[in-house]
Amino acid sequence: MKQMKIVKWIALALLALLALRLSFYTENLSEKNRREAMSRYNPEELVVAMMRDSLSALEQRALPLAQWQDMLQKDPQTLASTHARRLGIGSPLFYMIRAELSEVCLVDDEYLRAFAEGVEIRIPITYIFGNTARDASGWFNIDDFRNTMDFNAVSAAMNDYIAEKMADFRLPEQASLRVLGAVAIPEDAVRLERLELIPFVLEP
Amino acid sequence: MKRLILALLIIPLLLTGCGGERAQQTKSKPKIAVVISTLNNPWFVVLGQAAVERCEALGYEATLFDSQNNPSKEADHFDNILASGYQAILMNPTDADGSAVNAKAASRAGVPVFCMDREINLPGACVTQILSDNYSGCISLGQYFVEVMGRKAKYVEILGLVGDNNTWARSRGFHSVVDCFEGLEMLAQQSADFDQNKAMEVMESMMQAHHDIDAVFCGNDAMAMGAYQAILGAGKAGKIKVFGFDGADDCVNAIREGKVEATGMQFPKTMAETAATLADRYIKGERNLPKKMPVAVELVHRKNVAQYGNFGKIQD
Repeated sequence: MKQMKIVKWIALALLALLALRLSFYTENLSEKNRREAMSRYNPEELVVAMMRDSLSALEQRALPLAQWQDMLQKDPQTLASTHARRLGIGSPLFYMIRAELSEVCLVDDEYLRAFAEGVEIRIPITYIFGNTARDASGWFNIDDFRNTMDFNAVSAAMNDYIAEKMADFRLPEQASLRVLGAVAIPEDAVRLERLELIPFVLEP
Repeated sequence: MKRLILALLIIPLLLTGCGGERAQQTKSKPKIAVVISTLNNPWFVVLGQAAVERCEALGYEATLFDSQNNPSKEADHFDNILASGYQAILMNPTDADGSAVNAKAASRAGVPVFCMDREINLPGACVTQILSDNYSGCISLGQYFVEVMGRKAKYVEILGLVGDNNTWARSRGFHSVVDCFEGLEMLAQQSADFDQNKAMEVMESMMQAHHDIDAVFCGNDAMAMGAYQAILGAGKAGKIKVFGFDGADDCVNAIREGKVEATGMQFPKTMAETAATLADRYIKGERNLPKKMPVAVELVHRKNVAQYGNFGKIQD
């Protein structure tokens, strides 16, 4: 009889817990912010929201340059399937990578040139190719936009955002930097001596 | 007695007739309509023909409709198509907003629509939109334009149809690069509706108004060829550099011959074949299809032109 009572109370407690769980709706905060920003559709605002909410996740997702290079040479298919993002048919592969840059210098007021893991890295200043940042971030889904013009406006906004940050950037004396950025490479590339990188974070 | 004999003769004939019709109906192939914005441009002919061929290879009867760049003509085609038992429509829209109404009507009637090359501003009205990544393509073209023209030049732009999103995607992609360089000055910008003859007239009037044009950027190859004809007629061939977009054969050949500087290859066959394949999958019951599918555009210029022809890559 006592056992029956215990079972009954446990069952009631479980039911109460279930009812409590179903009465709450939980959602990832950055996903909620993303959805809200999308519903308002303001490209500049979307880019600010993306930079505010996703940098730490992008940092975690980004591969160290040495590891990325190693995988690219040894097993490009696995690298592509596990880490690349792409946009449709024939698209380049977009990756987030991080690296420690050395020998950083400014060339013709157009780009920063640096070296990391034996690769020449170029960070454009005059013109920043927005699609690489947009598509490597994985934050924007083309299906969420009314048309491709709206989708591309995000690229332009991202381009402006990064260009503005780069305009404020002053090359430090020690000329070594840490970078988190996006790259786009052709699907069949296995070895690259030079890499154009669009910076999300560039700091001493 | 005569009536009885007559009835005995007629009834089997009627039965055979009906049965024959039924058998024919059973045997007839399911139908897919291919509605193209205009067949007055070789690029769209290739798009339409490739779609028809792919549908036929998949076992459908495919019919090609020409909207003649006219949304009301397109609406007439849709009325006929919806009344004629087609199972899917592969559409190359005439207008991003105007064609949306037609796609919505088809969708309401339970006929799935797949857009090719051009998009509509009502994504829910079609199953999938297979589109060239015009913006990225024109960024590459803009970068090449800067490489060829240097940092200081005067140029004009000939736009396509102002109601088509591709027109603006191309123009904005190009300008997102070129406008970064103050020395590159745009003297004039005018629409020629993607039409070769109109582009020739527009270029002629632009050359009369501006005597110092160094280059012209055209929103498609037909207009690039029209602009080139005007430049040739004015004796300025070689002095005004021409840049197009599409990857049409005559333009690719013009690049080979040094008449045109560059174009963006759009791969119409890939788009058409993908649309037909997705329609087939949809008809067979698959519903988890992407809403938008961009197709990458490749830059074609004098150094790599040998790799391109026949509206794609030669090894394709």
